[in-house]
Amino acid sequence: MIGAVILLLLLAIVAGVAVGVRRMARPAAAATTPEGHVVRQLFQYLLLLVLLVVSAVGVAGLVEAALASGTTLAVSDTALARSVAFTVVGVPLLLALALLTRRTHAGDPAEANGLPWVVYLSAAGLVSLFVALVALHATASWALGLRPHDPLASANAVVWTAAWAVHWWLGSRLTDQRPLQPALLAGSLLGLALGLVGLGVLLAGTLDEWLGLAGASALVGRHEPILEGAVTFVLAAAVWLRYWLLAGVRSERNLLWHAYVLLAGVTVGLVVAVTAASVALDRVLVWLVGEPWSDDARRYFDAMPATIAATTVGLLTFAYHQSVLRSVEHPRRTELDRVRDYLLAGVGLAAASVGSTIVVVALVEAAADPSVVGGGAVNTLLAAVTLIGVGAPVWQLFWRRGQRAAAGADETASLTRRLYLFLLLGLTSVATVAALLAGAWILVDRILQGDDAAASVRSIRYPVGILATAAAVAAYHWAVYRSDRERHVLPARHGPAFVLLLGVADVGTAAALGRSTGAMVWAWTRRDVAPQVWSVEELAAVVAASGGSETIVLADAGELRAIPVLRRPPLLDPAASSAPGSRAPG
Amino acid sequence: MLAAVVAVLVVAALVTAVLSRRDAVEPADGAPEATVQQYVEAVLDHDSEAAVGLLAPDSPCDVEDLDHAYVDDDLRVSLEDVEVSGTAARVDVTITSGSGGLFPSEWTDAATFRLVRTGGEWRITGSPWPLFDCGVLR
Repeated sequence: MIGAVILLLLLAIVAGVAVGVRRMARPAAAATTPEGHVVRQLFQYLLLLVLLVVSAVGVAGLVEAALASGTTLAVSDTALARSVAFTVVGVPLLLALALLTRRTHAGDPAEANGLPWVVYLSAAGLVSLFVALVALHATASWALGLRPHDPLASANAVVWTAAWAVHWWLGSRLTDQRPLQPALLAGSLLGLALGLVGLGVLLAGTLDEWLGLAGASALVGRHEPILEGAVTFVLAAAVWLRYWLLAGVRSERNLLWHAYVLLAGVTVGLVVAVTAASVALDRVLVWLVGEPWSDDARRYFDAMPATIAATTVGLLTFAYHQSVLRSVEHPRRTELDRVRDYLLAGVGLAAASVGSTIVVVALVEAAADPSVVGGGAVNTLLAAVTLIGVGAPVWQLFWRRGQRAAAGADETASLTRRLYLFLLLGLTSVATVAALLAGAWILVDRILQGDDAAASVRSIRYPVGILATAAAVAAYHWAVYRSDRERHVLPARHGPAFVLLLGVADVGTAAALGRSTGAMVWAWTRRDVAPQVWSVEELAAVVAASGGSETIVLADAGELRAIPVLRRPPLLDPAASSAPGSRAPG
Repeated sequence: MLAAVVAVLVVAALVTAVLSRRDAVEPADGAPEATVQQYVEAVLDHDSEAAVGLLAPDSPCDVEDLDHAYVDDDLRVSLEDVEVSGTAARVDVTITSGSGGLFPSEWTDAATFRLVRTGGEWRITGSPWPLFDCGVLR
């Protein structure tokens, strides 16, 4: 009885707060300053997010209690109390705040498309998506008999999928979809990563069956890796389809978009493929030539299906994202091509460098003490050869593209190539100094301890290996850098010192124009017309003809037009400042 | 092209899953692994009386020990090896739990059941999984 009274009292308080919030909103909105407006939005949407989570947890808890009522003998009072309290307090407040938000947006379209609202939609959508995915996976696994029943997972699946759907719909109503791009790419990344894991588990399970490597007979329970992988793959594929294939891939191809495709797609795909292929190749070589840890082929190759599956998945990711990049490729080499080539060359070089370091370590070890050359040393050497065998072709493939292009001035002057060379020279310098210091320290210590020459040399095998590899890499790239510097002569500046390309060029074209004219070139996008990319030659001709030292270039009626400008504000003339339209802002 | 490759791989995998689907093994009646299977099933069903009925008379474990033992609901037990020597037997199994989530994570543990043949039946001796050191703290 007392409990019912307290609950009613609580409901009355919540209703009072909700009504108060709605009444207070109207005069406050008109009276706030722009700064107060933003602070109010931040708190309002943060509170909305917290109330969303609280309400969803409460409702899911109640649904769970209903689903489990036939099978559960006792439910914790604390859990039930939390679910009731979160629902009774959270849901009315959430609805009141949502109504208030709708009214605010109706009166202020700028706020309905503002950054705080977009951040809220992105955060709420991604949180809902993640919780719904975990819950849907558990529910689907239970439906297929792969896992025991979890009523909370079923409840969460319903509640959080609904929350996700509502926020996706709200996002689709934004007049400008571009600010949602980070959320689209984050959802795409989640779908991609989980999809690859699912596909990998599915393929590994399939290969296990095909190669007769499936695990021991089950006494109790079932093990269905193929179905488990398929559940993950199907759910993740749906997310990836929604976020990437139907939205993300068509969004603006800006720096973030390219970073996603290059890093999450191309580079991670290649790293996974190279690593897994190295492990698989090493295992085969050790079986054929080295000293395997087991004579039982079934036990020794137990992990082989997983490595083959990971290689396949990595290559598929790499190939798909390469094809996406290729679909926007320009006939000539752009900065984007350079970023991709030098990034992937770096991946290959890293693998080959680790391999060559191990080779030197093994050689020093064998030279210092030939008695250690046995099965273990052969296995180490095989691991090194594998890393070189996989890493060197990757490095060669992508580095060669850069070297071929380096015959032209564009390549040698490009920021990406110079950054790549400086980064490598910096890293190898640090590695060289560190290896020298460590080697000297260990060597002096061993000599002072009275060790013989062979033991002393053996103790510095790792510093020597790192030193030799770092020195070789540094020497080669220093030679490349010097050759670039000799070939690359800065173009004499002719024409304007500053050019603003307004809706007529992309970043690559602007950079090329800058290199050919010596001017500082900016490229801005026009929001009122579709983006166009004119050729460097056409732009250079217009810029050269403009005459001024600072110029804006735009397209007007299908033709390029250069407008000479002065980037400084006009000097205030007291007589002119009183004229209409010439008043200084503020 | 890549979509077709993925589709072929997934279809081939699902066909393999259907064709290779297998339930738990059915050991021959009277085999030591049959006793272990009955014991593990009883433990997972929280049927402590049935599980204790499969222990050897000199086992220090009783119904209360099994009532208090923690057992993960989501696990599978695989048969690794069976060795029979006269009236004694040894059954090696692996117990895997934590599989099947969105983020795959498995814990596999090896366990050995030692059995003796008494009254024509195999019975488990000592403190078998999921128990340990039964009676030590009493």
